[in-house]
Amino acid sequence: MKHIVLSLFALCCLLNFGGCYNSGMKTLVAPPVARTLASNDGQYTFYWVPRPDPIPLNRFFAIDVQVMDIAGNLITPEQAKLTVDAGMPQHGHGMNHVPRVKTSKDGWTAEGLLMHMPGDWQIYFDLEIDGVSYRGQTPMNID
Amino acid sequence: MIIIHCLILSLTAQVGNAQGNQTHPAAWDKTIAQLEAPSGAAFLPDGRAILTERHRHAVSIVNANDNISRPWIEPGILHQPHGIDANEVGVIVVADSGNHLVRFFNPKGELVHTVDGHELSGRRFRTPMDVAISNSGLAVADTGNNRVVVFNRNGTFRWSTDEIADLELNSPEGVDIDESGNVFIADTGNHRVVIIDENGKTKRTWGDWGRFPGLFAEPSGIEHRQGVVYVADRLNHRVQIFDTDGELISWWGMHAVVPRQGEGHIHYPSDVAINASGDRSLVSEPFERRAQTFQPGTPSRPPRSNTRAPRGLQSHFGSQLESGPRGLVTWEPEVRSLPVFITDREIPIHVATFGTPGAGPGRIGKVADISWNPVDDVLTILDTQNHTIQNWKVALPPSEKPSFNLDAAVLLRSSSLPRIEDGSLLHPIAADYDDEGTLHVIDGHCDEIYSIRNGELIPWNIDFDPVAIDAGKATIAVADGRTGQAHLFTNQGQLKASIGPAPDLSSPNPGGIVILRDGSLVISDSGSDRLDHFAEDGRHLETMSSSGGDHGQIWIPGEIAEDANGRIIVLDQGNHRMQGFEPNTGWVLTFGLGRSMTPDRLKRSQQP
Repeated sequence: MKHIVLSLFALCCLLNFGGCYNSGMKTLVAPPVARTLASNDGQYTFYWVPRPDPIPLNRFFAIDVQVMDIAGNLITPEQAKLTVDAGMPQHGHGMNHVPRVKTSKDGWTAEGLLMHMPGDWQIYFDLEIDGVSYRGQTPMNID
Repeated sequence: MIIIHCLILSLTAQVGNAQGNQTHPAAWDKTIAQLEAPSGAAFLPDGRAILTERHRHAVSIVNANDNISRPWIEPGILHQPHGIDANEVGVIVVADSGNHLVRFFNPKGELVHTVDGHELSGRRFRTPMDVAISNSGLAVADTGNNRVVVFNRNGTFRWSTDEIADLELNSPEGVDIDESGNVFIADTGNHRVVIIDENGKTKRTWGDWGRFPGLFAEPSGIEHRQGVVYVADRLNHRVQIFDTDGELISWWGMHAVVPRQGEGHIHYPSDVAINASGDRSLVSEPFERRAQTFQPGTPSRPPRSNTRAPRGLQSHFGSQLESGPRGLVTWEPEVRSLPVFITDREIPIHVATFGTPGAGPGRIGKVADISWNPVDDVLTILDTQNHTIQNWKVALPPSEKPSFNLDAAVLLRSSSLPRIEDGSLLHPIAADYDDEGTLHVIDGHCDEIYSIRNGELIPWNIDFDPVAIDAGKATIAVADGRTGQAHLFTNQGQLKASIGPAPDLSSPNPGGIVILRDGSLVISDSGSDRLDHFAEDGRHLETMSSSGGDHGQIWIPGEIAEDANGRIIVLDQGNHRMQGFEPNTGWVLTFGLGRSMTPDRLKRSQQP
């Protein structure tokens, strides 16, 4: 029963994001299911998967990221630079560890992220293309 | 055992006293008041203090009996002088920042030499903020070119920091040079100290942004005396003392609790000077229009001053202010964040604060100005420390249901500041969007205005000193820092008219300018603490404020704006608050991050 529920959940998630996926997106961080967020100006979409998932409290984790532009073209590390960061706006501080971002052919992996206290965090993805940096951000509650 | 213990305690106490400022001039001695933005500080060979007064465009000598004399240097030579130094025979060197020159005067005050940097170092100085002279040569903090240049005694070029690998200065504002040729730099934008040896090799660097002793927040002045390095730590309101290895020895200064508080309290120090014998220090505080001297001894806790600002209104606003259709944004340099208010209510409500200090995407360095684009409602921040132009979207809550939201502002895009004709980065000091969505920016190092259209910089080719700008409907007003006039231009930069200055304004230092919706114009003056209102045809209508800390009085006003209710909002920087005025009425509002006050409530509060 548990397997059936999980499968249905995964299917629902895939259908939910189905509009964004096409055959050229097999290399994206899905499967199982990437989370998505649009850049704050709507020009880019970030697909990201935390490892482990859910993000643990006070333990290092990583995030795999791939990016597409508004036309559905994959943005590669050859074309852009990605920075991943996180902070707690209500406390006015960020992480107490500086993450590293590694590149692969089609995407990025940010390692060494650490959310050292429970509460409301924001994860920031900053994509730099041709000297302009575009931000995407998502809230993340850690408990 | 007890004897040994007592001996250890006694020795510890002695060491503690030695490091506890007994040997350093840290105990408050006296205050030299009635100065106008004293910036640079030095001692003459005979022990008299000498200071530059930026708003008076002059140099002042303080005699032993505290009389201030300005007996020399012809008026009109200097413009916004900053750093100053004197050698052992009394030759005085001044960083003439506003003219982008270095001037040499003999002990009689006669101008003997002027240097623009080009012939000697291949590049003209840009807003040089400090100079230092010794028997080993001359050092110039060429702030706008992000370098320090060193010359031999005979004036020949020796080296420049931009030739040193792995050393990138960011707006250095303080410099000193010792008898051996070692150069000490307050690397202001990098919040650190740099020591370079006589051959132009980096010996040591230390410091970073922060509050703790040993860290800095915009160090602006530096002095080396007898193996000790003194640093004016501007945004930490203190002077820190190090040995030449960067080990912290001590610090002094206590942040003023309320504006005007002195007697050992230090508020935004600009420079520090130590006399030849090392037993007297001079700290300049342009924000308080004073300098203080200190003598050896333990810094005592200064008494509270009788001069107090209204309770609950203190925040550390910078001089930047921007108003949109409903919102108002300012900036707090000490925490590198931007508070947002909604103004379509009687009392403006603080609804958001955004910004995190540091370098990198979305981080805030030093905000030069803020402007709201009326076309797409995007807020643009110009950052001269990180050299970025950032676009933010701010979601304001409805007026009828205001709430505080830390996530109200999100960064859309960030990019490097564009480069001007000679390849250097644009250095904005003020900017505003016109009603067509074109951003017009004043470059403080080139005294030029640029319009940014489709990513291209278009210079206006002006021949005055622009210091403040506001774009109204099809008219752009620019304040002239030398004459105090407002020049009115079309959106394309064609001059339409010039108005002002106010008839009784003797030494103009415009801080902000705004075109009101009825076409009239208001200019704030940072030097004389006044708001002058002009009709559209140029007639001077009224002066709306006076100098001081009460409601309706202002101290070093910065930018001004018209809010959603048609009030003239002025950033009353010297009183750490904002105030609202209305034509023909005067003061109508005081507010900040804490309490607010209106004339009605003030009247009620004064009733028995």
